[in-house]
Amino acid sequence: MTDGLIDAVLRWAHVGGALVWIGHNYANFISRPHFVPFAGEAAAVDPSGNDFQARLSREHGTFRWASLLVWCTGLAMLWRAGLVADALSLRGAAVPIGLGFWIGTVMVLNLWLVLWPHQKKVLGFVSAPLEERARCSRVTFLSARVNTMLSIPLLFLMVAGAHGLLLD
Amino acid sequence: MALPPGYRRTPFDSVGGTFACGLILTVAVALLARFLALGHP
Repeated sequence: MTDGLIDAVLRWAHVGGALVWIGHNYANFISRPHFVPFAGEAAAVDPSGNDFQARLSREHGTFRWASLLVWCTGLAMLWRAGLVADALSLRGAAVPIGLGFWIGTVMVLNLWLVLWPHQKKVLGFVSAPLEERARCSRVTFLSARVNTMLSIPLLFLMVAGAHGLLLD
Repeated sequence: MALPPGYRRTPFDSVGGTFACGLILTVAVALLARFLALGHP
């Protein structure tokens, strides 16, 4: 009973976090299908000032921390199933979810180490000259698109791993 | 669309290009997974 409940809660948190994180990415993908060059100070700072910045900070913080929740709960589920070693070393029936784990890890690192440091400058959380902010907006665009692309095989591997699709 | 100096257009600059890359990568990792799992019931 307890084991089943823990597994269900982990899976629930994993899927919920993924919806928040990748949902944010897809919403951005749809609302801004093409690169829009950074348009200067007016584009990032609203007249409402601190309130707008606070909302931006909360929005970006939410999906960033959701990504860590997804990664941690995914690893926890593998650990509880006794699959960590097989998945991470890409062995046997754990190969699909292992590949998914590594792709997800690249996505989390891309988000935290590439996108976020540049996004902070674009949004004005860190001061930077306009030229630098314009350059950073291109980096954030490409970084986000890389995660959009990686999410496609990752979702497939999550489904395939759970259903043995690749091993029949 | 003006890109910052030093940056070129990529397949990610269009929705179709991003999807195409994602689908190609999906086929590649599916084949890789199948290959790696061979001989391991």
